[in-house]
Amino acid sequence: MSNFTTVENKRLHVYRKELDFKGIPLSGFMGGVVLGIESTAHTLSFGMVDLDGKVSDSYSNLFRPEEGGIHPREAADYHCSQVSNLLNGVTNSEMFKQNNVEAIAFSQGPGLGPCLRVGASIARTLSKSWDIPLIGVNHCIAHIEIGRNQTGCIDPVLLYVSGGNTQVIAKSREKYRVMGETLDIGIGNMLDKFARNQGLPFPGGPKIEKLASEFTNNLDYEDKLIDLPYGVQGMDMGFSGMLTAAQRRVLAGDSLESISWSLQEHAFASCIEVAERAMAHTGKTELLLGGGVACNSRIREMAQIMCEERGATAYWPEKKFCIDNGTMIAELGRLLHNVGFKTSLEDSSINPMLRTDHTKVIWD
Amino acid sequence: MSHPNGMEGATIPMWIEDIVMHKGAEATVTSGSWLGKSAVLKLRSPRGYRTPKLDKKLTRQRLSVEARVLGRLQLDNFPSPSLYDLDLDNGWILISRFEGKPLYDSLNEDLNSLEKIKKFGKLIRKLHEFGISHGDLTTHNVLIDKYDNLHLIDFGLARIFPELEHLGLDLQVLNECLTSSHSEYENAVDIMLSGYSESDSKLPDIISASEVISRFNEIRGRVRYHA
Repeated sequence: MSNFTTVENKRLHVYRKELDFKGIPLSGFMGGVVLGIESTAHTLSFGMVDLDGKVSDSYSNLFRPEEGGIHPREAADYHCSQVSNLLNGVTNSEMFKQNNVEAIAFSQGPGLGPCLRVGASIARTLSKSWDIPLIGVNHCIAHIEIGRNQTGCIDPVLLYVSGGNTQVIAKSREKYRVMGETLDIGIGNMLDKFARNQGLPFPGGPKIEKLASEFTNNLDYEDKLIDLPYGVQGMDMGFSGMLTAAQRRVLAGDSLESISWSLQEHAFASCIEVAERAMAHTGKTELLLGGGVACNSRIREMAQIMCEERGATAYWPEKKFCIDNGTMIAELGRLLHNVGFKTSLEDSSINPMLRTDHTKVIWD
Repeated sequence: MSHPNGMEGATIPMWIEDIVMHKGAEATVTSGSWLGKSAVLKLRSPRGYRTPKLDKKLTRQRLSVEARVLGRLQLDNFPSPSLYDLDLDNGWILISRFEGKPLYDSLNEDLNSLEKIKKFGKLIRKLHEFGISHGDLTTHNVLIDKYDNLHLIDFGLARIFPELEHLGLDLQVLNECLTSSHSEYENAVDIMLSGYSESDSKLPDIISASEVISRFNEIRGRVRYHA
């Protein structure tokens, strides 16, 4: 317990009180499940996967800041207020009632410290009071594993596009390695910021997608592409220049629809280009999309076209498994549980900077 | 004569095609001969996922920068392809062929290749001293022959008169390649950097190797979750 911070201890105390209502689930039922807890940023979410890999829906709550971007502490406080509600949902579900919870998995990083601590504290509490193993997992890798679980792809290049992260990841020598990534802001963050400055509420991505798709109803829309900086540097990307230029075009009087469409075209093309380069470099023939921005139908279409043109296959899970969700944490937890991995209380500290290539891939 | 990706019927003067060598993310590379010389045709076929206007712009931009950089490097006898011919509208460039394989393969085949990585570092410094940044330094974009001579290719993302930032980015892009694709060489990046500093000519009016390396270290700190 030595490396718990005071804040964590306080929070832990709160959760204990909240969780006493359930105690140990009844035993003597048929199968087992792993419960996963996600809390890296905006989303607090619980989900389950049974030992054969069958998934449940997640029980999630999204923190929407009243104004501005995410404030980590405010998000964490909000998550705290939602714990009982969500856990009630989980414990009343059929999957929970009919199975034993065999292990608790949680996002150990990367993410926002205060938010991560909420999930970690709930996980430690449940693991202790139900006397089952605790498994700390890497959030980015969980996106890959839920994608593999849902789509059946085997050894993909992952294009992970979300608010905070924009990375191209591929497995090489027993580790998932980052082949390319953003050097400034995440792509989702760029879209959200643009939307926010135009008075569109969080999350901005879906609103921009709608505006962009309205623009494509114009007959000659393709000729009206607004020139924006295209931020590809080898395998790396940048989106802040694009954002600044797009905002200037708003001031210059271009329509929001045309800028939204042009912004999507430039930003998505740079991601797909880097993903294609990673596929050429590694010789892999599967592309997997993950992260909240992977819900966008235009980036999915681009991924599909790129893969078809090079004789590869594009995959993406349903939207509910693209966005942050507890089920994906449970799935990676299940894979680790299957090979007997557990995280001791002493090693369960969160790590906001947890690297993708820190985790050795010891599962299939 | 058939061409990959919709070039049927188009004629390229003096070009006799042999085989498709590589279908990369950017271009299809075909070997053949041009006026009896061993040559390579790089065809940047349209990428269907990009909206046509953006695709045309990028293809044109990258072809023309590649042509200008190759011309410039020829004047300095830098180990890079010679430019034979190009067509901006149809998106191809015809260049000399170098008998060698990607450093990527060479590093994987012979695990005692630290010296080659150092040599690569030296070559990058030489390029930077000519006032050019590459923009896409990976171990697939440098070829090596049986005498360990290196030959740099693929200048589509290059810049003439780069800023310090672009030079630092070159090292960062290579850093990510070495750590993700060649993780068996534990200190590959340090070796590459030592080669880079060693061949610093220390001439005035040139951005020094140490300035570039310190910018590289700054850029390295910008990526997510660095150690």
